[in-house]
Amino acid sequence: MSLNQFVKRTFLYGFLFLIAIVVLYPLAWVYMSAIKTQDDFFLHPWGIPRSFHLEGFKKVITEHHLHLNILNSTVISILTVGIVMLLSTTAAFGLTRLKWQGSKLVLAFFLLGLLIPVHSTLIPIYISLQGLREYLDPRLVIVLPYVVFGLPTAIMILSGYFSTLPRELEESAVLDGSSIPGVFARIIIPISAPAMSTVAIFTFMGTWNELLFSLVFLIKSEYQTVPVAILQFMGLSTDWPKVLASIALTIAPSLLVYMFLQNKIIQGVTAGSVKG
Amino acid sequence: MIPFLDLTKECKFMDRMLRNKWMIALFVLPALLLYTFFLPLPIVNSIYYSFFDWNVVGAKVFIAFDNYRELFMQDDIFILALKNTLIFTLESVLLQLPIALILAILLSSKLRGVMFFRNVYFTPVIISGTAVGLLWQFIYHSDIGLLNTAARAIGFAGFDKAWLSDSEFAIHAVVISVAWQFFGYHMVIFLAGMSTIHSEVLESARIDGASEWKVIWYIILPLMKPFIAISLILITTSSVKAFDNVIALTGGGPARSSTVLALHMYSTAFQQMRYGFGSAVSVFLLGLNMFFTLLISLMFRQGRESRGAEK
Repeated sequence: MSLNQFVKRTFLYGFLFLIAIVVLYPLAWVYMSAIKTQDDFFLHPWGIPRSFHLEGFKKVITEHHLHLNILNSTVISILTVGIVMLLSTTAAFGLTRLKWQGSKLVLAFFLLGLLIPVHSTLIPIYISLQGLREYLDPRLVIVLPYVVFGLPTAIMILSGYFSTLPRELEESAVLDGSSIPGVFARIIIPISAPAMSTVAIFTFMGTWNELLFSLVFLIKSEYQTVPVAILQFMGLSTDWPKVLASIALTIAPSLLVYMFLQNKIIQGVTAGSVKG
Repeated sequence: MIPFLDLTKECKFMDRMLRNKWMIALFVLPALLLYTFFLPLPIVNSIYYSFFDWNVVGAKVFIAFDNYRELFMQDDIFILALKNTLIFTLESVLLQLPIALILAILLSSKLRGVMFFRNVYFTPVIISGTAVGLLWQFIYHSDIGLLNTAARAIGFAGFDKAWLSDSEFAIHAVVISVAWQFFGYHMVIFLAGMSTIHSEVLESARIDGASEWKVIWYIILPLMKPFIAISLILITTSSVKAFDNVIALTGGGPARSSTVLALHMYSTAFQQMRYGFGSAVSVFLLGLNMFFTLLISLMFRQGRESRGAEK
């Protein structure tokens, strides 16, 4: 390696590391600040913690009941993921493996949903679900729009995956006496685990992070999801380590999922962009 | 040939099963009905509501285009929100696209640790916009903020200011925080694009003496066009509907100076309880969204056709 090349490399790595720090430091800072005492925080807001203090985390649970919001978000997200998986696998199967005129058209109709900004559906959906919200827990009602917002992406990913599977899969199973639902449940679903897990991850993250619909649908604080809860927190408190503890808890699930499945998540984005 | 005959019979049996109307309905209808009811239909309803004067308590009164007239003639905040949304869109493109492109080009050279950098840069994408907005409140904070702390540490005390209280700067503050969150997403798209370019093409150009800039300008950029189009559509459409990052960082303030279309829709419909008027804002948001999608697709399709004609 020539000197020139060496200098170039050093600069390049320096630059890449600098950006990595710009990205990671604020995230690490959330956790460092969450474990500081208030004094430590105000004296050295951006320094390394000199104390290890879980007071902030305790307070968000005991004073603000953030665990209830976490529970709401968890239940809503899991329900949404479950229903999206059921509806999108069946629909994608029907659209790509069953033979009927208009299946391409219906697929295109589903994919049209990718272009619609969900914000423009908020007012009509809010009005049409007003009646239902009086009888049902709003935390269940909000699952309906969440499911639908997950469907277009899910159907795009799954129908793309299903259409690459060989026809012989169904044929041999049917000849062995299996029914169509049997083929779906016993053959297609088990071999679609990679695509299905991508769908599950993206749906989960989308639902866990959603703010606008939660803000409008979930008024009572004990019904609210985490993004709404932390948003309201910020205005209420000047106890910064406590606020940062709430942010730390909020982003932890996403960070954990990302830590373990980073390559899969990035491949999902890549696959989407290559097809789109 | 009896086995052959058997096979066609089995194929027909198979075919009949796959064309069974009840089966098709069973698999497709649940998703289709729910989807239609909660995505395309509300869009139609939104347009319909936008022609009415409708508060929660009063009756719906048909007023034709009066809501739209009010938006453009009397509602200064809407004009401000529209201006901010356009600034947001333009600046997001100008900030995120070049950074993402440069990083993708750097990371697609044969380096150690490419995956590490890629995965690190993508991290903020997965966090909620709400959390990112709140986090950046601390970065911009006038007393304890990272920006001012850093400015004081290197001796630029004059640089020090209350960033988010500056009504001129607030919207740009949001754009910067959103760029921090999403540049990695577009970099991943461009990395996928770079992987479709054969390295021999770039190598042979370099051997022929093309400078690095010429390689980027004449080879990489033209081949990346479809990916740039995808990124452009994603950035513009998500900027048009920006909400989480704005409400969490500035709340649209100070004094509504950083409000955007989605925030205006939210406050007119759910704080002032004017459903009809809010619907008009949301229809406008939809229209702007469609406009950018169509504009970018057309721009890039034309490019493709003229390239085809050259051959």
